[in-house]
Amino acid sequence: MSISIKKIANMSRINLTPMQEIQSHEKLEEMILYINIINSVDKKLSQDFDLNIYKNRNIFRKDISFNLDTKVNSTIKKNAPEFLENLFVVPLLVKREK
Amino acid sequence: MSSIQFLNLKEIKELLKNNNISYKELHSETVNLFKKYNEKLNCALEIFEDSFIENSIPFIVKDVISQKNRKLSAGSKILSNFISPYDATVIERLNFFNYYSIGRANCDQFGMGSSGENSAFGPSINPWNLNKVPGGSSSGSASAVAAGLVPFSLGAETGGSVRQPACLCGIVGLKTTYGSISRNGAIAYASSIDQIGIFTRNIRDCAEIYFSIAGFDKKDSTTIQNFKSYSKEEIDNFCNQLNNFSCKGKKIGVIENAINAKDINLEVKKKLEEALNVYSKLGAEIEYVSMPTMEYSAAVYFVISRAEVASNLSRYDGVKYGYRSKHSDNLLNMYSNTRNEGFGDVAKNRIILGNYVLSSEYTDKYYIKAKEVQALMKDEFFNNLKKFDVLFLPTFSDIAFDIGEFSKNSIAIDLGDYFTAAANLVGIPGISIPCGFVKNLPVGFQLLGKMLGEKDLFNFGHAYEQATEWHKHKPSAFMI
Repeated sequence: MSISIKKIANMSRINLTPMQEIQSHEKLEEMILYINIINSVDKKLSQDFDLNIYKNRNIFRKDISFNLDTKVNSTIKKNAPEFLENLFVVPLLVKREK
Repeated sequence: MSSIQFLNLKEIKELLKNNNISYKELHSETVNLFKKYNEKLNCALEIFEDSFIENSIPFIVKDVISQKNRKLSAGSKILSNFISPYDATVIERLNFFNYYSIGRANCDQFGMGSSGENSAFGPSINPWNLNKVPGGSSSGSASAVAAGLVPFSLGAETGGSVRQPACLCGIVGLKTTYGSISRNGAIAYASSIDQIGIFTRNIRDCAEIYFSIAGFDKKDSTTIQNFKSYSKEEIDNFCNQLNNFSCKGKKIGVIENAINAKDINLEVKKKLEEALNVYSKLGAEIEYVSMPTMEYSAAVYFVISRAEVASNLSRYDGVKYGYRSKHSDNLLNMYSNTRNEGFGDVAKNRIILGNYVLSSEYTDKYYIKAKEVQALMKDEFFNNLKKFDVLFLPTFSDIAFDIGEFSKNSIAIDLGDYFTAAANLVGIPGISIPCGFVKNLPVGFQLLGKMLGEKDLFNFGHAYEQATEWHKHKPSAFMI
């Protein structure tokens, strides 16, 4: 079984160091070996089984836009790593050619 | 020892009613208890000295539950400076019933861990033995209640993070029916199986707090829609009738494969059998039942919880809040560096497994299959709960282990989820109740109930407490 830890780490958006890749790979293999047990299950559900016990309906809020009040806005600003003129500031995705 | 240490809610309310202590004094003494013992126990990340509310009793909250204008770290570096803009619904409801939070309890990062050692802020310690873990992930919540610093605390569980530390700390820990308590304001781990839980030192207090916070919440669409909140009168009525319950003729199903599990400590098993004898003497009918799907509970739990956590933790990317890496030259590197630097190893490994089982080549083999086995587990549990009033099994296979014992063998500790994860996967309530000591460390047993069967758990638990004295024992190791 070959697992591309680089590929999975990339999907997870986690930049592992080479040492971390080795450790994560070992842990992942160990786990997969264990969870494979579920593939040995070959049973059927009983006839009266119902997965939906409560028959909950989805509750939708009204689709109305509103401006965040200044108090909430200030909390957002306080928590943001970098915030300028109501926008979150992040590094460029792609550097511009000079 | 302080006059309020180890008191339960009823005792505290009596003292307050008789003016033996004022609410302000209660607040000050609670703060002082944490100041005195927190350095040893590391159960609290922060104590709010300014949080006093008149006519209210303090408790502490696992730091995955939002408290307005307070830090909310989830035990993690990636959220270490995040300030919550609102109170979780459970906090609002407890405020309504005259309880207030006095702090943030330590926990394993994002609820990931079974020992209390995975917090970015250092491990919590078991008050019964300072070399032992309190269990996890709600480690600080359990430790604080076991040490008598507060009468109750809130935790959260996905696979046993309330029941297991309750067992290892010798207190009561309740995992509620899925959908009975609002998760609005609780940081999500695996949203389809997360539930807020309660720690207390006796069943009566547990019942009181449960009924105070249970009920439909329109802010959490997974709460049960026709489950209305309880009034103060209804809560008092139930708590006052606990002594009237009789076990005579009631049926307890003992999960045979759990109590006879391969790695169970034989001295722990003996304590569980003694607990069954108590129920037998109280008139309950005990019957052993085999539940084969339990053998898959840990594996199913690993797949489903990791898949959901990979999704839920994808929001922590350094953009809008939380830690941001300073070593990134572009946006994609910023995401990846932030998450590598901000998450602990356990969190990263779980996210990686989660994305693995959700990746296109493996979804059918692992995630879909796990959901099918989960349905089979529900089927088996619901059928058995038609025959029995409650199910009985161990909460954990052993007593509290040493700090660092499993640092190189995380799967061994994860396998402890075997006893607790089934209740989360199926959605039923479960409670851990102390039933003795092995080598001076607490042991607990677990009862599982029908959906919304918390009253049965409280009735059976209270009956056990009245026939035994285990819940009255107090640790002293941390007071030296």
